Amino acid sequence: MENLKQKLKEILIQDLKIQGVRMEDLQEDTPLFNEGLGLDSLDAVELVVLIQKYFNVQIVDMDEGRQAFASINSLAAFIKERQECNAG
Amino acid sequence: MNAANSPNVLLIIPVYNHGRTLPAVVRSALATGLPVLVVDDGSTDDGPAALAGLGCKIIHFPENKGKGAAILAGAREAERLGYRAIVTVDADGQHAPEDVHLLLQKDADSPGPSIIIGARRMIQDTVPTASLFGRSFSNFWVRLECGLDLADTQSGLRLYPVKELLQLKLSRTRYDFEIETLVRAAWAGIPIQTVAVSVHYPPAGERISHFHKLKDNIRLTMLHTTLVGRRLLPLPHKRIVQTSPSNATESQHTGRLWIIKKRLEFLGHSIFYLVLRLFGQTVSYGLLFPVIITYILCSRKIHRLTGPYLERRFPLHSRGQRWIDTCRNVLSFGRILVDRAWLGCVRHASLANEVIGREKIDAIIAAGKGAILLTAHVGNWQTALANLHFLKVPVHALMQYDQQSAARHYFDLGERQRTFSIINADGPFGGMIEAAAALQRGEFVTIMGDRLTRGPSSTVDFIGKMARFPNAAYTLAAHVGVPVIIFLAAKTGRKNFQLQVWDIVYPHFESRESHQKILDGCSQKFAEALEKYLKVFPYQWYNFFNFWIQ
Repeated sequence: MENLKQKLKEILIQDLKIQGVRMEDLQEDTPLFNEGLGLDSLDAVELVVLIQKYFNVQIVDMDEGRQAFASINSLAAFIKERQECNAG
Repeated sequence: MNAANSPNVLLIIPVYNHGRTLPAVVRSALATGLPVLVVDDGSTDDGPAALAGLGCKIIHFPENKGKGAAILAGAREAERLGYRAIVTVDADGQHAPEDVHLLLQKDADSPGPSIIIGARRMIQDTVPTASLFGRSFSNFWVRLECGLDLADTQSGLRLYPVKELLQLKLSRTRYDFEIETLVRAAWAGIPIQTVAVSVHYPPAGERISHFHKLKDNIRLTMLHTTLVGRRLLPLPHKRIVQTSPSNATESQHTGRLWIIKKRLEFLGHSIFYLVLRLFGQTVSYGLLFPVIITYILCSRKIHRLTGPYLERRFPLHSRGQRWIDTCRNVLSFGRILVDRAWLGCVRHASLANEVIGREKIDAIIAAGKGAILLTAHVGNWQTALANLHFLKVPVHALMQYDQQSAARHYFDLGERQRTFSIINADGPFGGMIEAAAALQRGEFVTIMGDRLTRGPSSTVDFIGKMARFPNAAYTLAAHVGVPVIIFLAAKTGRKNFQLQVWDIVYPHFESRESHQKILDGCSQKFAEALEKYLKVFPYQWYNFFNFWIQ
């Protein structure tokens, strides 16, 4: 799980290029959208595509998005759960 | 929105002989966390008896009085117990009580008391066709009566503010109650809002409706006659809620003259519909002339709306020529409105379409790729959107649900199969996640490229002056890896129109720094495509506002 969260932080900083935040400062329970990191709906699309690419997990509608994108923690949990479903 | 955050909302379920579905509905209603009150409208089955011990309150009527009476009784009980609002849910299992939280959320976001309707999304296969027709007819009448374009005037899933509801002078007690409340509430200044909800119609054999075809249709006809009659009287309505900026039908204007003017407009619309049904498209076109000429001669507002565009498009025209341009612009718009009404009202009406650039679209589909169809408010764009079944892939329209209510009203009309679905752009992620998923499945998403929303934009040259265009479509396309097809409609004859691919853009991001430049480049192509279009069809531009100042 820790590797997963680390990878997510890398994606956020390097691929999404979130300004003004360093890896060390990224809190795992900060909301990703609106307040918190302040990502917007187009960032959401980019994130969805990256998560598909790196983890082979799909997010298909705003309900899944709301659940997964609440914070790094919830995103990691979402991905882990989906990966286990895919494997099983 | 957690129901526990709404301590003063009571959920009401009126029931008459829906015993089979009632316990399940009550259970899922209780699961929302709201207190539940079942109003037993004289049921003769043992439905209410099965509710013992479930945890809901029950009021019994000794005999059947009607859904309206049941809801009002529930409202009075709610007022007695100190609740601020009630949510009504049908007992036949049509509504998903989970959607209640959508209504609560909308209510929480509203500045004052308002009625929230859960508009049933357009359904795929389980809708009984009689319902669909009934609904659009009902929407049409409500619109004529109170000026509001509501998605689903017959939906029983609603939130009512208790105090305001009980202040309305309501007389209907059965199925007509729900229509009467809407219209009278609108007249009283109570804002009415809509949220999209899901609906489930059980398969044909199981569906029980107590809608008595003859009696209730007569009741509804009487109701609409009364409401239309009241609407025509040049007397102002009693306001219960004073300022309602989102429903400013008559709030700023109380002068007698203005009211009469509105009534005449309404009369004009209904005569138009009548002429259309009786005499058809050509005669209605003919009727447009005197109407529009009068409008243009008498109304300064028209020139302010068409002027900015026509002055840019025809900078060298004299004043006299400008008047003619305005006539032509407004007349062509009028004909498109007549077409829409005609297609909706007249049984075998249809338009012939020509698709230019079809091979390019087919090539994209053959490659298994999805695409964004970027279009604009030009030509008969709405009827064109309704005719995309030739694409043979699912098409989704990304729209803000409320603002595209006119489009939705059109698409509701008639027995025509809806050829696409609407992705609600009002959700937390602007519908982008659903759009991306559809595109990745190889499906198409239509986006309007000429209306700014709150999102990012590019400022580019358009007919000689800088204008802002939204550019989210290109970002979406770049992330998902699909092309953007600039696709515009134009009316080319009385019964003909064309759809044409004016350009195809392939947005692709290299480095992050170049994002804005690339988006600007894409927007420039869109502006150029629009300019090319307007050279051929100068009078089919229907953005009636100053496009260059936004």
